[in-house]
Amino acid sequence: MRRFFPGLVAVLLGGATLFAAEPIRVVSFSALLSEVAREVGGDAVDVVGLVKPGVDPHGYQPTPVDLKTLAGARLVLISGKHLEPYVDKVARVAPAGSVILSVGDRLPSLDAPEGGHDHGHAHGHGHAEGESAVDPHWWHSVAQMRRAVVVVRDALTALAPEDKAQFAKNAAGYLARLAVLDKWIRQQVALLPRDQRRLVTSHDAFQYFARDYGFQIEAIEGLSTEQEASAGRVQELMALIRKEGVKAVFFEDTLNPKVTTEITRETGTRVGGMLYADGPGAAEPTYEQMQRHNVTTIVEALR
Amino acid sequence: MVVALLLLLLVPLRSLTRAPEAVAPAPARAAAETRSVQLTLVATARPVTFSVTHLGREIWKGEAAGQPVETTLDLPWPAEGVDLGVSATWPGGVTGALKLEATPEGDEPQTRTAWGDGAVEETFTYR
Repeated sequence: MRRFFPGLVAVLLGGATLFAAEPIRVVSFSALLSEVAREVGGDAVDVVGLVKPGVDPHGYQPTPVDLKTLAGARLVLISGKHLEPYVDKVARVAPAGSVILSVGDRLPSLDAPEGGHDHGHAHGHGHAEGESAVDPHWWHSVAQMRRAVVVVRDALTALAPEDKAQFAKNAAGYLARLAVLDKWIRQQVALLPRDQRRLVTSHDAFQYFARDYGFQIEAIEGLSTEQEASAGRVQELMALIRKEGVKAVFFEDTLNPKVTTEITRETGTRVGGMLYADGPGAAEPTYEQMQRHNVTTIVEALR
Repeated sequence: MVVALLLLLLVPLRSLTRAPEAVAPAPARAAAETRSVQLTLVATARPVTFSVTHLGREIWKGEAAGQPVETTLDLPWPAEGVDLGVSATWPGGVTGALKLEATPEGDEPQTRTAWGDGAVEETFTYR
């Protein structure tokens, strides 16, 4: 018995260790939140990213196969702020007891610009006619991304309190890298006079970036890539570009640059380059790569 | 009647065949007002070697040994504000603070502070 008992304890402990090592299954509907979950969760999570880098989240709809991946999920990550009109569908399919975390809804919001290009019609953001539209593109603010890291860290900690220290350490490391990134962005945009930080882009995705780094945004389309530019809006923008002497107009990775090209041809300004508006691209799949690409492109074009 | 039809056809044909008009380049934006600005730098550590940049160009550098140091410069000062880059180092890697005050002529002073361990590198915004 003396020899058997320690052996039994070892088997039980081994079993406990195995159980503790079972990773938390996380299903993410945002390429950026997949990155956050992997960075914070490390080996303790198994992340399935359904919206991959380079996919336009405005146009994404989960397929039946996508929804099957929710089986066994303990945490479902949603970007939020009405970006995903299919949240109810996900909630119906997600396993009982799983946590559906709409990260963006835990972060401060910016409303669509007053009298801007959000025309209140149905376009997937879920707001009614006349209701104020919330800008869903919170990730263009590094400060918001840092808040999102804390939200995900806390959610993982609630699911696996035994891994709290590891999640805290991983999150701290990632937050420090984001702080360095934020400082770098401020140094880069400081190369542009503040009165010349005017960003003309394909759709209205950069308001959080503008608020943090002192830009004014003029978008061809509205908050969603599914809103098309009106002829009146294009004319208005061309007049502004001529009046203000805007140096460059930018297009986006998931949108046809036809209107942008037409505007530059008509106004004599130039195409500033491609920006990642709705998350990182396939060629530059991390948050840091996305931000560095965007900032470098903007600063080089507007200097 | 035929002549009238031909004349009507000429208008769209003209627009299809004419050479594109040269597009005038976008006009340069009016330059921001230049103002005389007094800069004052104070650091808790000593001695501090510092550099201040504006639009990527170094506009002031020097050393501070405990007392405030100041200079007056002419800077373009748009209504949207100005970003100044500040980098500074001091010996020993000790924790210290650096304060940079900007006072555009006729305006109130605006102060920005950064902390660091042996060095700071910050971008300060003044309105």
